[in-house]
Amino acid sequence: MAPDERYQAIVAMYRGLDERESLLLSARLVLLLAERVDAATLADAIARASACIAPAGGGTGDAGSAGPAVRTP
Amino acid sequence: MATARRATLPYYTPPELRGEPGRRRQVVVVGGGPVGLAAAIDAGIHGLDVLLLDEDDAVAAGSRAICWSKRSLEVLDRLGVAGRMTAKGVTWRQGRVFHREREIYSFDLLPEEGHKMPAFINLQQYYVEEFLIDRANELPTVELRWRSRVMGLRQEPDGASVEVETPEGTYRLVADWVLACDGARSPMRKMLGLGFEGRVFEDRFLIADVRMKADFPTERWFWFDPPFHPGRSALLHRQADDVWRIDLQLGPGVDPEDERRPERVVPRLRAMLGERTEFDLEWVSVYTFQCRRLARFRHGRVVFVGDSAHQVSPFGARGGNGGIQDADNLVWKLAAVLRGRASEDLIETYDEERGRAADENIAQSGRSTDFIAPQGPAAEAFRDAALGLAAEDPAFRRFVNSGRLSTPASLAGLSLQTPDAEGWDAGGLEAGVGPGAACADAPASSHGGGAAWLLDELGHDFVLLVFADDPEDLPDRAALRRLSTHPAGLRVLAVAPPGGGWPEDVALLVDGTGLARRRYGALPGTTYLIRPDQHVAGRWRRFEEGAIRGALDRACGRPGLDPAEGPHGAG
Repeated sequence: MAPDERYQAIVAMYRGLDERESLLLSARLVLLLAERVDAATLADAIARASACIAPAGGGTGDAGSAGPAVRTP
Repeated sequence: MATARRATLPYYTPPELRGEPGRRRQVVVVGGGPVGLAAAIDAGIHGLDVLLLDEDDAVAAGSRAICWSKRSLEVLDRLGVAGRMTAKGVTWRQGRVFHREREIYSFDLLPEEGHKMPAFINLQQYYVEEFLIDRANELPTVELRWRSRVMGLRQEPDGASVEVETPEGTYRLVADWVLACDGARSPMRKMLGLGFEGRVFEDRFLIADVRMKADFPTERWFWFDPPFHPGRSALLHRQADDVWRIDLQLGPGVDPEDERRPERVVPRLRAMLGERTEFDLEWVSVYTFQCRRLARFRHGRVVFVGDSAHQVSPFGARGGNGGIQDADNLVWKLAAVLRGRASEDLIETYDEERGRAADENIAQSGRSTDFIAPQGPAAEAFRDAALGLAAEDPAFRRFVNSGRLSTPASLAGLSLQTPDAEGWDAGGLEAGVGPGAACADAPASSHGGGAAWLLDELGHDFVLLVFADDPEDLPDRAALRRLSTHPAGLRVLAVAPPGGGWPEDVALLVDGTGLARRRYGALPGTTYLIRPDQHVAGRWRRFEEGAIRGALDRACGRPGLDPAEGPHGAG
């Protein structure tokens, strides 16, 4: 499939959907594709996709899912 | 609606308030919940002088911690209460996960026979505490004091002291070691000014003990977005006495005081159970949860155990179970230190080993919580996508996370363990039980023919487990005698197939089914060194006195071990 057609096939899915429906659709597509690629490819895609996020965001992986530190008074 | 309170625990005027001189204790345990009681009992079994203090005078109100894992039951069996627990509790091993009106998958936590303890039992925390208190009262060196609240804590040059408040006044108590088993809100943590870092989740859950006759099977049932509780999760467990435990996700931003009222709770239960089911609401609580931990569990002579040290969300039953396993890890080490058989550095390995377990429990329960209570629209979308895909395609079931039920953490690669030498792998055999793993149980019989279980025979000390097909496979007796004089103490137990001709001078366990050999990946001569907490410290294909002595030195943290010698070198 030519690049334009691939691009179009993805974008066309979203026509007419609201934000919530779009998010769900994206999540389904990501999980379906993630299931089919090996771990290295997934890690690479995550790293490259994440380049659009400003630093000081949340971490990835297990232990990195810690949110704001909480101190008891 | 009254909570089911149990009998009042006795208060006695302590000697310190009768004008008698108080005496220094070896161990003071602060907190009489399941973890504090387990630690006190274990210390008593090791012959230590232990005093337990609890501010209350009754066992837990409400079911609270209910799911007791196989590993915890094995620990509690070693402590002498699991028999009562399994008799009273409800055994289960299967679970089902539902999304809307469909079951999307089921699981079985112990799909094999030949273990003394079941995968899980459900038993209300108040029963567990009752049984533990009865057991503690049997031990001559264990004293329990109720209505005794610790108000102050001070590190001392060679121990720690606590300020204890009772109905009749306050007194001070000095101990070699103080165990802070005072729960999630841990006043002792605050007394030492310790930070407690991690994540707080805003979602609230309603939990209820509901007494009813119901014909749900004895399985853990979890629902995502069921018709009776749309958009949220629900969990159902059976407990003792036909009391069912129901957990309902309420979401963030609800008023907990309002939600606890029966007028609010009963309609929710009606929606779930139907109009025709008769039930009594025995206890209700609304809670949030956190996943966080102390940076270090040991602070001088004060050691934090259980929820005081680390907290998890309840999905996966890692809270109470983690705490019981903390106590299992700590007390034999304390006994070794108090007997002069190990330096205090051994207690650092409690922090090392249970710190890793806490990290694992926090990671697992955090992930489950992220799935059950996703925060933010993207997380919600992914969760719902995973559920939808799981309903359509079995390959996606493994993404569905309603709680990863507690399994024992592995201590592999940590300081006390001796890694396998190259010669270990015999190819084609089952992997056995690796260094740092909890021992596998197996059915067996004693030499005289009586039924036995492998774990029962391990007890509370270091054991050398030797697999032999023939008396010739048994190690040289002189070497065994020398090893048995090691300061840590060492008992030898041989495991053999049925048949005669075995000498009387080596304790023998008969492996009639072959399951012990299979589960330990054993060939004739395979030797395991096992710690008092029934974890593997090291293992070899052949008995080698030097290697075993080195591993035993290492397993009890004895100083003077030369790191350059490597895992199986020895002096």
